[in-house]
Amino acid sequence: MKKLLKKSLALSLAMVMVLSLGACAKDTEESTGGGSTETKVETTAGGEETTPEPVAEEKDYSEHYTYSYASIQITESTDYNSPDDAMTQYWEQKYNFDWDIISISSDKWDSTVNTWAYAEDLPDVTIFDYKHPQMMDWVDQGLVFKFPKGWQERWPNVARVQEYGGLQLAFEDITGDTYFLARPNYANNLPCTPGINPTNMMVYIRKDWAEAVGIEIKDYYTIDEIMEYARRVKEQDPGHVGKDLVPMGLSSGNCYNVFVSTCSTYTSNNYYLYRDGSDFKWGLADPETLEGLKLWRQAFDEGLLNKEFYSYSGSEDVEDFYVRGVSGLMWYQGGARYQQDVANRMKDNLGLNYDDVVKQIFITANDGTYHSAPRGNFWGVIMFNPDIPIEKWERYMDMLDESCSEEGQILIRMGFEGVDWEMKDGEMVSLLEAGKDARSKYPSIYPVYHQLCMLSDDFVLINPNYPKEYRDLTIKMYKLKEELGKNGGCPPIDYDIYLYSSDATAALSFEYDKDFANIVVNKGDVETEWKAWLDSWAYLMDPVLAELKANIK
Amino acid sequence: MAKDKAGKPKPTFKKTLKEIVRFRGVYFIMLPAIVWYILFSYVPMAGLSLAFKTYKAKLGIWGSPFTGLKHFEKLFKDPRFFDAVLRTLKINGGRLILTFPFAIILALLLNELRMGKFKKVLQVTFTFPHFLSWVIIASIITNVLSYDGLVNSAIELMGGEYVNFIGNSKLFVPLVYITEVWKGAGWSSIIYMAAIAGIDQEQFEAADIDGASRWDKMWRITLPSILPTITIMFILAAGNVMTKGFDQVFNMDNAAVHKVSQTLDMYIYNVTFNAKKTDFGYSTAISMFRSVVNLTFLVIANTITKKLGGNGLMGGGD
Repeated sequence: MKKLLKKSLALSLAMVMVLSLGACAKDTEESTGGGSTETKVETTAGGEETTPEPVAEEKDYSEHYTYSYASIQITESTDYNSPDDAMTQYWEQKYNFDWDIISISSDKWDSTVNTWAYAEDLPDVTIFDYKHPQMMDWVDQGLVFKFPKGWQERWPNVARVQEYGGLQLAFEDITGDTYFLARPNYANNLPCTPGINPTNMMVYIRKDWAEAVGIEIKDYYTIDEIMEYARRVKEQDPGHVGKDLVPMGLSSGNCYNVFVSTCSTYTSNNYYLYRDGSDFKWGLADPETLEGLKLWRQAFDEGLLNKEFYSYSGSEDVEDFYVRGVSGLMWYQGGARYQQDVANRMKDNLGLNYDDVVKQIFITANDGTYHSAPRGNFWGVIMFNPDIPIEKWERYMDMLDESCSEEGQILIRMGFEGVDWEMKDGEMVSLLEAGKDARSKYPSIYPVYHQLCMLSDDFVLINPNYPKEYRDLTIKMYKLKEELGKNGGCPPIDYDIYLYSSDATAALSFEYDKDFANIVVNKGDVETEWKAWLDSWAYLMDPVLAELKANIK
Repeated sequence: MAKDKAGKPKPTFKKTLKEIVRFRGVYFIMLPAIVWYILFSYVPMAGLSLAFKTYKAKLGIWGSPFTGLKHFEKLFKDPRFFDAVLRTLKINGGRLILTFPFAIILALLLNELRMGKFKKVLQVTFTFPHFLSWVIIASIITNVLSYDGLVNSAIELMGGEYVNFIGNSKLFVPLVYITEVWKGAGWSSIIYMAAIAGIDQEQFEAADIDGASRWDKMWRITLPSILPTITIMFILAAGNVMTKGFDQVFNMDNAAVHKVSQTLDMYIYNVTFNAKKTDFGYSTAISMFRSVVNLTFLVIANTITKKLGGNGLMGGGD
């Protein structure tokens, strides 16, 4: 009897185990994720299955990690582990880590990261200003972390964000693997057609001065019109600035943007080659480039620029506008946050009301076409030390995944619900003081959480911390740029060209702004000097153009 | 027994070893300097082999694949390289001729001062700029010479017209020399002052008895006495002709003078750090070329000095 009972019990247990395994197997078949996420299949009242929602598994974060993180824009005085900073405490406590923040000087960004990579001494996390031949070399030499296959399923928010960026997927097409994460500027809120990504840089002019000298206030001007504005400002000095007046407060780099890049599309330091039928061309050799260069010389000769514009360093040229108040225009970032930033600075430094005295505009070529070199939807990529322990990397990815979720974005951009913002009539309402945003309240946000994976440009278009009129203006300007750039002025990025790498392309290194400023300042004939400059690069550029023609169909 | 040109017996290895043991205390003091030279000057020379390789970080310098003269072929095809070499020779050759004598003149003049305190104040004043970095000096120069700087304001006050000092290609090289003298002459003069201090005073006393003027003493005693020091300093400077002044030029560079400021070191910096891909093999090849040219100049200067009856770097003139 006892034996029979034992046998029955064993049989029952065996059946339970078999049934359980069967149930598990069914769950697995329905699951879309792998790794550490499970999938919960929900059934609606109508009996239809809804999209599976990934449910985070309880993860073991008991081991404390310190992440070395290297980036430019670090504020040296900020304690990114401050116990008084609720934002960093939220992330650090949740994922049980602290930061070892390493500041990279922006003018030594490439050289610093290069040195680390080749010395096999990269920090755990490094932000790199993407250069394709360089990245290919690191990948070939195994100097950057290779993502495990199928990471996209484990961190779906990060994977989704990479689709916006485009670069990482295009790179994966070449190498078959993931080695970095691009940081996209825009997700769902970019007002332009997907693929069209005009620069967010804008020109700020003094509205009060323009009115005083009889210049009509508009959203955009041709380059001749803006030079006429500068000319009248110089002649009439509406701000009574005197001898310090600088009609166009532009450094060499920004002169290049305003004169050359306004007239000619393929003139960016990152993108200067393009297809022309079956041929490939160098944008700097286009006649439109010469036209811009001539206008630059004209502005210099007429005294519209700072006499020694080439000696501006750092942000001195924009400070002439919003700190010293002696400049008639500046070239600066255009988003709502930057408008707010300029407004704050003008109030603090000059006691001026931004809305009364400043107009944000952009400049077109004289035929009315807006030019912007093709840009990928990203700025900077995240790469990891190739020897980072996998558990440590996975936890970082967990954090990135949360930061890329809708809730994560709201937290980083807006702060804490009920403290920094609240919902009112279905809309987010800021509880912060006017003119302030989450990053001014929590210093650790910038640049670490602010740019953890997704950049702020997208959310800023809907961020109620910034005045609606600034956000609307940004959207309007993007739409106008796309509209005016339709005739080839604002083309999408061609990844075949952007990601073409060879010894010939790797040897190219330009300082367009410096070389062109040199032509402008030294009094030779502009066209002759420009041609001589093109000839001096022909031995490097000709093989590249020939290679592109032979290898890209 | 083998004898040298002076007729003295040539030292044998055994004898040298014996001397080292005998004066071991002195040689022991020299040891840190020898170790330093081996570690930081001779061991890194092995890295020059990279000029013939394609650097692979994981394989290290020794394990990286050999590529022969590929980097040199690329280098000698680059017109910018030749421009940079010629420019460097021009700027630093001029520097050698024009700025080198200033430290000697300063030392001679300071030596003639009789007021001890005033002499010290002047010495400190002339030496101080040496301790400022070129970053600071370049920003001082920019502020002083810019269109709204001290000098142009003074010119304007006197009714003159604005002079473009910092953006004028023709003034760039003279500015390099002037700032070099301002920063370095005081410091370099210390060596000559030390050499002057070592001159036997009896020569001056004898000259006084003979009724020599101060000019005669300076010209016929002081200067000839420090000539060996001047010679050595000149030979060393000649051996530095391709490398001198990178941080100075780098900090004084701006877009307006970009064409005349691209020396060989600036070229190396650009191809190493501003290229789309860092190629350490190529950069090393350029550095190697630079070192060979430096060595050639050093040997030439040394040989000429010896031919002219001087001692040269290793002593023992013909």
